[in-house]
Amino acid sequence: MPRAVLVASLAVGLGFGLSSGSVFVSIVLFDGIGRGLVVTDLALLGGLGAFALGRAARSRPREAAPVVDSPAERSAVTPVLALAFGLSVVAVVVRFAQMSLNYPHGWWDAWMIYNLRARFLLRGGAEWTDAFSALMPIAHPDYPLLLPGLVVRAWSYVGQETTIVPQVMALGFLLATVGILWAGLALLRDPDQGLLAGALLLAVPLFIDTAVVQDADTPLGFYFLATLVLLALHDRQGSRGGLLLAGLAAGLAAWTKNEGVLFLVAIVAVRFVVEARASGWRRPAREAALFGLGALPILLVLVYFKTQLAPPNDLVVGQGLRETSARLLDVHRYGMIFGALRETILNSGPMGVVSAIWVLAIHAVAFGFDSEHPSGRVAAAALTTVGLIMAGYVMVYLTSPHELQSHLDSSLTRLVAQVLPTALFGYFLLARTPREARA
Amino acid sequence: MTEASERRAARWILSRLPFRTRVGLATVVVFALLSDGHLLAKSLVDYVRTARPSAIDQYLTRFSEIRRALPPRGVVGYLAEPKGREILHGGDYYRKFHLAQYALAPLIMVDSPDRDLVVGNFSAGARVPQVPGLTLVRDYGNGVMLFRRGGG
Repeated sequence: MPRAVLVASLAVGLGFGLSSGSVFVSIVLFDGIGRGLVVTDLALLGGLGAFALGRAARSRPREAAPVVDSPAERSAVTPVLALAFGLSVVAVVVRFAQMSLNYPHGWWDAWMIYNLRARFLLRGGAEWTDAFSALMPIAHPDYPLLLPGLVVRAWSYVGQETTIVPQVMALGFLLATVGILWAGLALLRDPDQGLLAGALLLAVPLFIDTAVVQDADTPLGFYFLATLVLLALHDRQGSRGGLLLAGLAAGLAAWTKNEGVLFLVAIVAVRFVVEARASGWRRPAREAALFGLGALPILLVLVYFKTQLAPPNDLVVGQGLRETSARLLDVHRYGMIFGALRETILNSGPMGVVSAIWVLAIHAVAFGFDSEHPSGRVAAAALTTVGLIMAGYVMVYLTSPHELQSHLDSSLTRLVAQVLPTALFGYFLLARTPREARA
Repeated sequence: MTEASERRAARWILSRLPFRTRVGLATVVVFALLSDGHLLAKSLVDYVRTARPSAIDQYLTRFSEIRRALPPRGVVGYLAEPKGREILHGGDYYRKFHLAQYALAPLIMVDSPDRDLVVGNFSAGARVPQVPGLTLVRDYGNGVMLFRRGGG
C-alpha cells in the first residue's frame, strides 16, 4: 500500500510538472497553443513509449527490488491514528469542495497571476508573449509557468476555460503531498509515523488555507517534499533512478515559483556538504551530477523562459546600493519580520487555540529521537534546507522594495505552508515511532 | 486471531506504552480531531453565507459587453474612482483593477488613462467622469464605460 501511494503521488506531481514543461515547449515551437500541442504530445509519448519498450526488451525479467525493508505491520495504535488521519482527509476534501464552489476562480494569486496567465496563453494566439508584458508588474509576469502551463493544456484539450481544471490540479497536488508524506514515512520508518505526520499536516490551518485556494505554494511544497523523499529512498535503495527523479522534482520546484530556485541551490549545497562530511567528496559529486541531469530538461526550459521572455523581477528591480543598505540596516524591519514569523507559527492551530508547534514540542518530549536512524542524514538535510530557505525568505523581506507590512501580510503564511510538509518529513524521520517508544 | 482477541491484544499493547508516549499520541490525535471539527464547521458556515454564483463571476459578467467592443489585443488604459492608500495588492481598488484585467485578457490593461482607449470601471450608478482629453464612447451600465482619447 505505501509503495502504491508513493508511486501514485509521484506520478501525479511529476506528471503534472513534465506536462507543464512540454506545453511550454510546444507553445514556443509552434508560436502559440493549438494543434502543435497534439504534435508535441504525440512525439513525447511516442518517444517515451519507444524508450520504455526498448528498455523492457533489453532487460531480463527480475524481481522488483523492495523500495526499502518491508514496512512493519499495523500496531495497536494504527487504527486510532488511521481514523484521525482518515477524518482529516475527509474534512480537507469537504473544505476543498466548499471553497471551490464558493470561489471557483481561487483566491487572489490564483486568478490574478496563474489563471490570468493561462487566459493570455489560450486567448492570445500568436501574441502569447503578451502574457509576460512588463506593463503588468503586479501580476508577476516573471513567475515561472508550471501552473499556467498545466491549466492552459487542459483548457486547450477540453475546449473551454472551465474553472474545474485549476481546481482539480490544486486537489491533485494537495492529495499528492499528503500521500507522499505518509507513504515516504511509512516506507522509511513505519506506517504509524506516516499517519502521525499526515494527521498533523492536515491539522494545520495555514497549510489547508493555502492548499484550497489554487495558489502555487502547495505544488511548490510538493516538489520540495518529493525531492527529499526521493533522496531518502535513494539512500536506502541506492538506485540511480531515485536521484534522477529527485533532480527532476527539484527542477520542477524552480519551474513552479522563483522560490524554487532558492530551494534547488540550497538542497544541492546542503546535500553535498552533509554527504561529503560522511563519505568524502567523490560520491556526493557523482550524485550531484546525476541529480543535475534529472533537473536539466526543466532547467533548460526555465533558463529559456527567464532569458528570452520574462521581464525582470520586481524585487530585483527595486534594489540599489543605497536603498538596499538602508533597508538592511533598519532594525525595525528585523523586528517586524521575526514578529510576523513568530505570530504565524504560534497561530498555527485551529481557532488559534493551540499552536501546532506546541503539539510538536509535546510529541518530541513524549517520543524522543533516534539519532542513529539510517535516514538521519536526509532528515538533517531536509531540516537544514528548510532553515536555509526560511533564511532566504527573511533576506527577501529585509530587502523588499514593497511596503513591508503589506508584503508580509500577503505572503508569509504561504511561505511557511511551502516548507511545512518538508519540515514535518524531516522531523518525523528523526523522531522515534510509537513502536520504538514502547521498546 | 479473532477480532475480539485482536482487540484485547491491542488494549494490552496500548497499556504497555509509557504514559508520556500515550500523552504524546493523544495530543496529536486530539489536535487533529479539533482541527477537523473546526474545518468542517467553517466549511458549512462559509458555504451557507457565501453567495453563488461567486462574487468574481458576478463581477466578470459586467465586462462581457465591453469586451466585444474592444480590439482583440493591445493595450488599453483604465479609469476608476480614486484609490485610497493601497499598496501592493489586497485593497479594493487593485482588486477591481485586476479583475477587469482578468476579464479582458489578452488585452493588457495599464492603470492610467493615458491611452487611446480607456476602460472606465466605476460603482454602479456612478456619474460619467469628466476627464480632459477623454470622450465617452459608450456607457455599458453597472459602472462600466468606454472612453476614447481625443475626438468628440
